[in-house]
Amino acid sequence: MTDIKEFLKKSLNQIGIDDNEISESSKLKNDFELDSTEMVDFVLSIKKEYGISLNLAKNDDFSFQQIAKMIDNELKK
Amino acid sequence: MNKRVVITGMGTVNPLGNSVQNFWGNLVSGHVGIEDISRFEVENGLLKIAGQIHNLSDDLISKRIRRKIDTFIKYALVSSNEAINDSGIHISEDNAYEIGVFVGNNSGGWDISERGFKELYQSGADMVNPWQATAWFPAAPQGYISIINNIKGFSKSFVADKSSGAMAIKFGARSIEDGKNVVAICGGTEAPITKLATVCYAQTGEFHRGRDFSNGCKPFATNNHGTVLGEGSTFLVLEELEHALKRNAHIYAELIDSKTTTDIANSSMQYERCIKDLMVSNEIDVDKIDVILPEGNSSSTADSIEAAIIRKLFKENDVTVPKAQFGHLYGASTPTDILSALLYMENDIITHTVGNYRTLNDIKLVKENKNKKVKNALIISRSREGVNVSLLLKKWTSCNERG
Repeated sequence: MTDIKEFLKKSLNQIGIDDNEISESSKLKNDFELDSTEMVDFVLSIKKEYGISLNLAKNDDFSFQQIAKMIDNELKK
Repeated sequence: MNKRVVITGMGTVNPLGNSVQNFWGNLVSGHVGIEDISRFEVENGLLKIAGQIHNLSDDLISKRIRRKIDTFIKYALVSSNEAINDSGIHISEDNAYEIGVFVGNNSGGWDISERGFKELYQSGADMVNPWQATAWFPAAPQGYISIINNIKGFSKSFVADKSSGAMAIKFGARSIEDGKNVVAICGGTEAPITKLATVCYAQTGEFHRGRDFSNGCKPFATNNHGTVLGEGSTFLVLEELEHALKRNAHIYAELIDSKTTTDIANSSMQYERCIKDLMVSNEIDVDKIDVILPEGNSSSTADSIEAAIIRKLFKENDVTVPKAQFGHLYGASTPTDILSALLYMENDIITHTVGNYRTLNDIKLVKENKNKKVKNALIISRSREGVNVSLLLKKWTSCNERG
């Protein structure tokens, strides 16, 4: 999980979100205010790293911790 | 009666400088900003030299925006920011709907497109970056300038080859004359110094294929040189006269009028009419034009047409081509010519056209910097296929209260 979280932080940094803005409970839409293209950018980075396609562009809003768990669960399948 | 339009702000990034001050210093000194292309390997490319921008700081653009934009948008954001700051205009919710953005661009965002092609053909459609959809197209700079500055007024983008920026200035001014806007942030931007872009531009057959740049790109040379591609962005703040006077803005000049006509590529008839109409309708005699900045793009057909008409209409006037020092900026070309004319008015100097060579029709280019009070300047733009734009600028003085 630590590696996954480090990767997610790096990916969010590349979008322009600083470490000090990121916490376990931070949500993609409410807290980071990712717009639709930034969301695609984030999902693409996960796909490139792990080969996993997460569907985050729904109405739901996911936290940093939830995303890390989703990736972890997918990798364990 | 139409409202009058004045210019109250200037900003630029181009191969001669990343600010108006640096640009002017290098323009006056005769520095040539054209060089061997250093941004990519050119051995198999068709163009070998270009006017390139170096060491541009984009700190004023937030990290989140920087990730989303192409180079031509970055140039536009930096130069429009300088122009807005120079004008002293404060943009707020109170005036956001009275301010518009008018941008000329010829060929969109090449960096992002080349990245998109690589992603598509190497990794597949679902690996194409999401900015591909929003950063490549010619209206993108208008959008980002509006978003970053919270501008919400009537705005437009223009694609008209080498006259794209001239059209942006013309129609930005018209939006003020017609009362749609009080202020218009107008200019152009271009960033075509990429591997694919230079191949595409070269296919017009107009470009210099060698490495001859020490004397600039030699507009109107009898021994035709060929156009040299450049990159950059210039923005001007156009403002309704009474609005500018009310806030005690520094006024550089009044944009008196502009005309447009359309020729076919190798015809000069409408080019001549474009200039004559401007002179006649504004009742200005030939000898009152202190300096002419023509298109002068260094290609044989266009130069021949222009040289013949300029020689016919303006026998003794000073003619100079600043772009000889930095190449053709396409969308940013005419805005940069207007900027040069404004700086001539501010500094009482006309800069020379670099290089020593024989000119077509023996037109007399200014060959040494000339101390001269510039009151009226004529700027002419012509696209490859014959879109003509002429613009008349008059230096602002306190006794200009019309007319």
